[in-house]
Amino acid sequence: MQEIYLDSAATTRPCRAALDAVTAAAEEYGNPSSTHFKGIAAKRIIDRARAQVATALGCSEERLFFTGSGTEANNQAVIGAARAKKRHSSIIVSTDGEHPSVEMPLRFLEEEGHRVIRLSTKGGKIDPDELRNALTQKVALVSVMRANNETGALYDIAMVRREIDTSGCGALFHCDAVQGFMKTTDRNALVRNCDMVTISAHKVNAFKGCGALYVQNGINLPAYILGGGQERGSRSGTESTPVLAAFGAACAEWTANRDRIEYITGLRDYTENKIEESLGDRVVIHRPAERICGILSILLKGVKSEVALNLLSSEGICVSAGSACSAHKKESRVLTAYGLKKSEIDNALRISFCYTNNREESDMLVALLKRAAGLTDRNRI
Amino acid sequence: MKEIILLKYGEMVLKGLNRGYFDNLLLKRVRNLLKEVDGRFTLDYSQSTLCIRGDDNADFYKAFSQMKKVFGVATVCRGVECEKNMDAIKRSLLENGADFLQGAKTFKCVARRSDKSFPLTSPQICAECGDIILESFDGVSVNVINPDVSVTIEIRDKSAFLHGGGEKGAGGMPVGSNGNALLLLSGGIDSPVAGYMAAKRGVALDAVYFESPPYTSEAAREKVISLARKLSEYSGRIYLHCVSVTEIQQTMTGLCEIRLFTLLLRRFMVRIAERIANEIGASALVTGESIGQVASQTIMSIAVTNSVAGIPIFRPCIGLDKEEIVVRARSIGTFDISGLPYEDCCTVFTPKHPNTRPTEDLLVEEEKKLDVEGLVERALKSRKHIKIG
Repeated sequence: MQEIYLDSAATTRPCRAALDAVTAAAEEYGNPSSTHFKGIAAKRIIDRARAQVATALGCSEERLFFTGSGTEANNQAVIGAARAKKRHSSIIVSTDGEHPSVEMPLRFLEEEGHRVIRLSTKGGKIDPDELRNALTQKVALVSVMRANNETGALYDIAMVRREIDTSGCGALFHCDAVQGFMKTTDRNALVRNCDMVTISAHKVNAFKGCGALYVQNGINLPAYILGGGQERGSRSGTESTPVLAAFGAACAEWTANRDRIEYITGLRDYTENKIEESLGDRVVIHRPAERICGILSILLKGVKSEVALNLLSSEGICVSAGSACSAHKKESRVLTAYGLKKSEIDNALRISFCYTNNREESDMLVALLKRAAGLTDRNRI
Repeated sequence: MKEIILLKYGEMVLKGLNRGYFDNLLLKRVRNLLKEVDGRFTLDYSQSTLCIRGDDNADFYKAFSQMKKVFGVATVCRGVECEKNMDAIKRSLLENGADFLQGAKTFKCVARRSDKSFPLTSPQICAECGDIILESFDGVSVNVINPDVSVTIEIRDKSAFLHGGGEKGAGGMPVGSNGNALLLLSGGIDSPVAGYMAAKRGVALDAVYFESPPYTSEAAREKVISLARKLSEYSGRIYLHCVSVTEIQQTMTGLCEIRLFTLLLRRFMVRIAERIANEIGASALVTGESIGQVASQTIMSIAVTNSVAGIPIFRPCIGLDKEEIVVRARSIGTFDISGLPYEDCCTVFTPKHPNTRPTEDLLVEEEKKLDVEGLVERALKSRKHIKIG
């Protein structure tokens, strides 16, 4: 059975450069904190990886801190910045469509006495007026994601920056760019507009177990993992040299191949058109105002997403359900915020592309989606 | 002085001339479970107690937890064996007393002499051992009515056993001593508990799982496999038969009364399960039904499901509340697995308003619209079986 992986928003297949880097770096098993030659060799690998990631993000190496995951970076940024700025204000502005690794820290902060204003992301965009209203008071932190992982909506971070600056609210701006990193043409936009940026290795064809946080000069976030003082005290724990080396190598590849974005966008549009052509009114395609290149969010009318997903999976195609439609699991908070009804969320599918996918794969997907569209649904009985 | 585990047999000691049959099954189960534990063990049975000894590499901690899963055992004790004289017994108590007491505040000594030639009487043994404990361990006092721990000294034929009173065993009868049955296993909470309860009465189990791909996922099947694996820790090896009922459900969709869907499907499941049971030599079916829990479990619904079966259907959970079933599921470790959110075949085509007062005639009439035998045959052809445990 041919394997067709169309779930790159969940995680990506490691690229050849990452695989080579991880193998080579595994030989350099010294502890990067050791001062003997084995330690120094490992440290050099990490320094190189940091330089590669920093170049990709467009920031200085000194302001890039590796973490164990994107989730960890988001936790550190949101909780750390909110606590550090508590004397200035206890108000945080965010959105109702954030990833759980931002949303759950926000709930934690609410329990600590912070007030969180969640801007609507209905239709996949943030209303500047609503943001402006929220910023009429002193605000500690604004946290807005770059691209939404379920709908693919791309939020206007330059607009958010402008509103923060003109309001004089004094807020720090954090952006969860786990989905957006390397997937937009203006790659310097993140560092130019944000005070803190979260990125993750396994979304750019490197490995799980590694993320990074960019923190602008002058901001000191408290460390939550204490110990040997690695990452300049920001995140203790012996660094995983091979995993970091792979992160660096994958970033270098993305930096050198900027045409990937155009390719992925083309493939997404091709697939979208094919789906529309062959399924007609049995499918709804969500088109947020601005979209990330690799994510296509659709719904098959009257077909539960889990059923469609099972069928695709049995034929070797991996996609994601917009939400697990089982009665045991709550519907997607993000898709509800986007404006979908519960019955629509039950039918939502997310197809996400990488530069490794091609049109033949899209054609096979469309053929199977057509079959899936004919499957009887509980609601039809 | 050597570490030992003692298994005290349960109700099987009441058996008469066929006692040996039960003993052999229990020994077989114990040997199978000890195969998964590091070290070499030897078994020695006498006076309703099985003594497990091990070599220097024996992992007694793991062995002890395994032995708590053996049906037929009333109590499991972890203790030591020493020479049969008071000096050795006292020395062992000094060395192991802390393990027996485990932070208890009160204790009593219990002595059992199966060797009546031992010079001291049981009360004398208790008095001397009690003195040693009181002198040597701080913060403990004697309470003969309701002690935290009963430090037990058993004077046997060749040696003495010392332990802290032991823990409750799994109870019931050795698996296999009461025949074979086929469990209708779903991803829910009830059926694994039903399987456990049947196995506890000595029934050897195989299981059948009904799935509806692509309406149900690979993950749902994995969940059922996990449940079967957990169950097999108690019941021993299980063959899980996975049968697709997708065609049956799709055929019914166009032809049959929606309100009867669940019952029609359950009758199909019973027919298919019975065919598998006959083939593998199982003489009964086991289900997780409990009266009135859902629409297909009213007495009338159970009656019409039952009527297609030619072999007995046991329903160990029949009189249990959901809460009681959950308590049992938690204690055997299946509850958390059952809680995983994957669609089960029963729920995909569930009617919104099922018939709760069906009659046999109504169902027979509906089934006339279907090629029942053909559908059963084709479902059986889809069967895959997986060996678990």
